[in-house]
Amino acid sequence: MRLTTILKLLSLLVGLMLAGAAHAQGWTKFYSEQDQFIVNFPGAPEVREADYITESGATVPSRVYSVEGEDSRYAITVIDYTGIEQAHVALCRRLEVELDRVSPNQCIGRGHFRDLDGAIAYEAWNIRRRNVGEITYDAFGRVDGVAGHQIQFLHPDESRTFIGLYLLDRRLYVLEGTVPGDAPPPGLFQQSLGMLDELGRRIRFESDAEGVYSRVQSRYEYVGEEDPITGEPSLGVPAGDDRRIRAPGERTGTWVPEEQ
Amino acid sequence: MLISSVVRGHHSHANYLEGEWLHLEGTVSEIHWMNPHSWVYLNVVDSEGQSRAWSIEGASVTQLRRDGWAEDSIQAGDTLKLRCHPLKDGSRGCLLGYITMDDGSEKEFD
Repeated sequence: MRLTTILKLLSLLVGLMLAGAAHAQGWTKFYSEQDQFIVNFPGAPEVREADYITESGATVPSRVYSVEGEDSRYAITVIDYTGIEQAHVALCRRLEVELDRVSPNQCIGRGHFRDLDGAIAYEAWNIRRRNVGEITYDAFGRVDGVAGHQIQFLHPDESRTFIGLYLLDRRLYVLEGTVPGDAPPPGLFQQSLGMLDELGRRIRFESDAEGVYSRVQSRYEYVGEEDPITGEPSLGVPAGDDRRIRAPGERTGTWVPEEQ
Repeated sequence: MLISSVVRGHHSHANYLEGEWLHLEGTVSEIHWMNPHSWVYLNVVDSEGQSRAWSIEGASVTQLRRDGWAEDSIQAGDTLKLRCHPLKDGSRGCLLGYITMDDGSEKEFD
């Protein structure tokens, strides 16, 4: 990933460690309201902000949530493309100043969509060209019906890195788990991502017989209200099996920010 | 719009060899009973006599409870026999699969 060298340590975690959330031998659910995701971490992550340069050269923000051990590292980077259109305008204004002539290919039309459409492919390329070891897996994958990509590395010291990239609602989520060679592979982290809507509800898509994906109610969408042992909603309200997406005010175990 | 009634997993299992079964037996070192997937860390002695740590992926807590599993069904120190799909990259990860019960029968853990 291309990051600028300016990194800022946030004074406060923008995420929230879920009190009473599922917890197993050091692994805890971490939820970020700002970046709308939930993931399993082996502790409270440090959060850093960094500028990210897109494939076309526009600058967008990113945040890196990471937990580092002596010989392991777990991180999720959220590359925030929500302001990509304005970032392209800024890019073109800068080029107008710096160049004698701005390329019409770069600054006419809706060039920001090129960055969005290619976000996974570009970041996957950045990851591959790190050249940090043997790529042992490199293929398409889905999480909750959201299309993405998985890359896995075997490093010269026998450590392994498992990576997942998923793009939803103009946010690119990049999960990376690295463990030493004698440890179990880091699938627990790589496979734990959940993406949330603005109300904190788990987003899940399923396909029909024609391969058309549409959103359905997740069976594990109860952000912040799970029983710490069972993972079931702790409000005593049944999830309902009709698989219908609930309205924001409905009490179905859905997490509502104002009520926390 | 029609919605499939088939219960599907949280993520695609593309990085597993779903057409192959691997039989493993070992000692549970950790059990992570959590969503969206439960994980069993299993120490397995390989053909060279070395104990190797495996990560075995199971279903969500919700699904496991529906299938009759409880949080204490498997505990650290237990000896476990199971059948799972290995990772395509050859690392020590596997997707359950079935766990062999004391009476020899197999019970789904996915």
